[in-house]
Amino acid sequence: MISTKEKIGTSQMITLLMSTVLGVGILSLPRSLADKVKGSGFIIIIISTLMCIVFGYFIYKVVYRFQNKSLMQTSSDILTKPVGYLICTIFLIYYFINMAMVTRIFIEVVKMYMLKKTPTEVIIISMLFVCAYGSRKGIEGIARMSQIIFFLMMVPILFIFFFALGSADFTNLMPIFNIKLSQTIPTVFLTNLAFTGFETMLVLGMFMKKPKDGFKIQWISVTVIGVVYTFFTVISVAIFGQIETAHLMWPTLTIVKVIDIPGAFLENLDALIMGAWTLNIFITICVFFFCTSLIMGDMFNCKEISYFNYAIVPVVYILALYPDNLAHVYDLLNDKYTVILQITVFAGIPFILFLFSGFNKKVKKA
Amino acid sequence: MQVKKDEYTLEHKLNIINEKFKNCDDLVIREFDVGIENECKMALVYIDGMTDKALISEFVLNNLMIASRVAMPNEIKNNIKELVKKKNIAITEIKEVKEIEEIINNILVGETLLLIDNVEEAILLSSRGWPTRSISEPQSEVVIRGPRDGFTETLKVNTSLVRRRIRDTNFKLKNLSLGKRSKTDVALLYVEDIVNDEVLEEVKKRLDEIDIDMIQESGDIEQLIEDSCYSLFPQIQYTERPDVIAASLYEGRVAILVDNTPFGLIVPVTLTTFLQSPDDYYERWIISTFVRMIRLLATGFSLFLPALYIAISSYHPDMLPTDLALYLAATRQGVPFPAFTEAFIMEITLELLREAGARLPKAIGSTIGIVGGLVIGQAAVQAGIVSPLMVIIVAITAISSFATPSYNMAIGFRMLRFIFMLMASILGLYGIILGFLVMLINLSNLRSFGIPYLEPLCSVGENFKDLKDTLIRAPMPSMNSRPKMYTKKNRNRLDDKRKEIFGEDDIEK
Repeated sequence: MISTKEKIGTSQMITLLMSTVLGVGILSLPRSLADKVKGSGFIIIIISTLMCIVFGYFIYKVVYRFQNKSLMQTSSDILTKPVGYLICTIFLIYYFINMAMVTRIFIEVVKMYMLKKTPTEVIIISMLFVCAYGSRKGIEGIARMSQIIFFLMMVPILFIFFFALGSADFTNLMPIFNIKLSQTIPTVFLTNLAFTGFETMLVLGMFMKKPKDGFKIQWISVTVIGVVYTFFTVISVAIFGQIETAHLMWPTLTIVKVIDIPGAFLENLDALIMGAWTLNIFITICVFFFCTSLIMGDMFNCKEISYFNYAIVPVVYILALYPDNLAHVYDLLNDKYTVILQITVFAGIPFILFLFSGFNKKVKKA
Repeated sequence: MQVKKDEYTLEHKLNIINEKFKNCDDLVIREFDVGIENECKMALVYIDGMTDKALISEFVLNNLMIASRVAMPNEIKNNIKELVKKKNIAITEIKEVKEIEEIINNILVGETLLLIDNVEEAILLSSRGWPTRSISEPQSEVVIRGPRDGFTETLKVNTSLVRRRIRDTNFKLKNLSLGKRSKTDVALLYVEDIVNDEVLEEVKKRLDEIDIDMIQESGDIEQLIEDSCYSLFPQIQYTERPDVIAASLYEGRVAILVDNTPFGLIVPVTLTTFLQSPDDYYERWIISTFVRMIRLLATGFSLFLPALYIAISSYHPDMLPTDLALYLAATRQGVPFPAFTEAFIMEITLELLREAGARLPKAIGSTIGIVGGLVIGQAAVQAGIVSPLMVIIVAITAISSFATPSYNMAIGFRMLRFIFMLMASILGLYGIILGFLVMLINLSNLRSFGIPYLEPLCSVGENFKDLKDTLIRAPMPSMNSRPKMYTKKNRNRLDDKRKEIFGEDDIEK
């Protein structure tokens, strides 16, 4: 039984969720969209944002109905204990894979832009230990950090926004509606991957101070993320053109290299932008760490969960070093099984829980 | 009629007191007789130097010895205590004390005790009085605009300075005595209908837990009741200024004043408080906002500037424009040390200078300034051990770190600066970010008496109005409610009636 003495306010939850979702997805999303649907990527993003809001509504309903209950308790209440264990195991696998991939992509970015000669191991270990330390202190601390980091994040994003407009050519987006419906649906699912993290609400819902605001939290954070994604997708196609965007590894970071700030004494801002982005990745990994140890503690019925944090570090370390190179990482991420797992976690499980919780209620009433 | 008991005789009581105060040569016992025929023995007991001798001689001894001659002999015999209390002693504050322990305690704090033969109770004459420093301008918190009175070493003077600013019966003052041997007077100050009750209870609980033999200064209490003693950041604010205490009481906070020190404590506290100065509120809001921004910038510089120099010059020279990068490389040419060692030498020299200069008399202090200026400045560059750019950076850092109004917070930042420098030399910019993250983790998990340390920056949605008084200061009329983070009672503090009275259009005039 996990105690829920810690409580998170509504605004803290919004920023926490936003910082969790905004992670590595923002780097490669413009590329994969330009690759698949050329200039109409933003339509796909709008569709998948709407989808995420719908799933968010399911999650909100489940969390609201089972206040102050962890995922394990909720799922075993709805669908018996063995299924509860199954759902938790799926979540665990999902979090481990996500943590490892986020860490790996992060390390590759850091190596490419900041520390070219430092061994990968040093960067991974130092980052993971800081994340474990952060999550060990409890969710309240992470939520407070997310508020500060969110505003530190917003500064560079707005910065890019204003200075990138100067070099953007929006005719590059044309033709816009030149996509087939058969292309749209798989791409929407692929884009949804960039929203991974918002299902964390299912795990962290028990910490909400006002469970009533659950849906507000979901739609505000998903909408803001949708806007940020749309902006970066549109602006990178507008700056680089459709074909070049599809060839760039991380168009978002390349934008920073391209934009020119009049009067600034620093020439390359990518290191500074990278700094702000690192803070964000930290929150993402930190929340995943916390969720993992929370679910583990829940499954093994532990009172204290903080020591799981450091126990996870070696596992994530090994998993993060498993892919040979960056191409392998993205191959793994777009693998059939990974995609199925992701969709199960952020669409399947909330939907099933929602469906059966409503069903349960009716049975009880009758 | 009086009951005569052995214990009530003057001799017996004086024996006990003499026994307890054996070898305490500062104890004064003045024995004298009252009345003409049936002489009644009395004694005044006090500690030399802690009582107002003129007061006792003039209004107690004089009255007793002379005025008693006109009293009726029978009266003296029957009811001497009441007679003395009601008709003889001309002192405002008197009290009866029975227990011998209490008598001794009161002698120790500076009161005078009048012992009467064959009377059970002793009479306590409030006569505390010792030479005190007069109220003068606080040395550690100088303001450009604002009151110039500061606390002194006497608790009663200090509490009266606060009372003068809060003429409200809701302003409560609880007296405590802390320290088994020192028995230091401590006053707990709060405004009852504003204060956050949870915080008040917590403060009382923590003060009660203190079991120590002596309390010298408010710093002793601070270290005994703070939340985390391993944190670099102070979790309790201290001040020498009564106006700061009064203002924080109006915000719903709790203040602790301690005898023998001019420094009072204020709890709870948040990070932004340490970047504020009292004259921010007295000055107009545009000026204060600008000054606060400057301070924020200075804090950023004093934390990160040397670390950024190390990181950029050794890991990311590509961040700089080509001309600047070439200039940097040229100035560093011939410097035999890596950037970290160079920065470390200079920063350590600076810290040495500051520490050496802090306690010196003014005459020698200027010598240190000249010598230090030579060492840090021209000589080091000419000797070729540091680059000129490094000297500039050290100078900016030094100036910036003096811009933090709070001394104990500035020290925390100074220490963090060295950690950031180390991280920068190992992992470059990424190291600085990791260091910043660890600092942020600690800050966001830190609490001061239950209030999160980063409030209101860490709950912007909930405490949005509190942002008006953090890194900026909003115009006075718009700060119409007390900070939500500190208290939830009686939050309204200002009603802007100008619109109602003058009408919408006339405000501008």
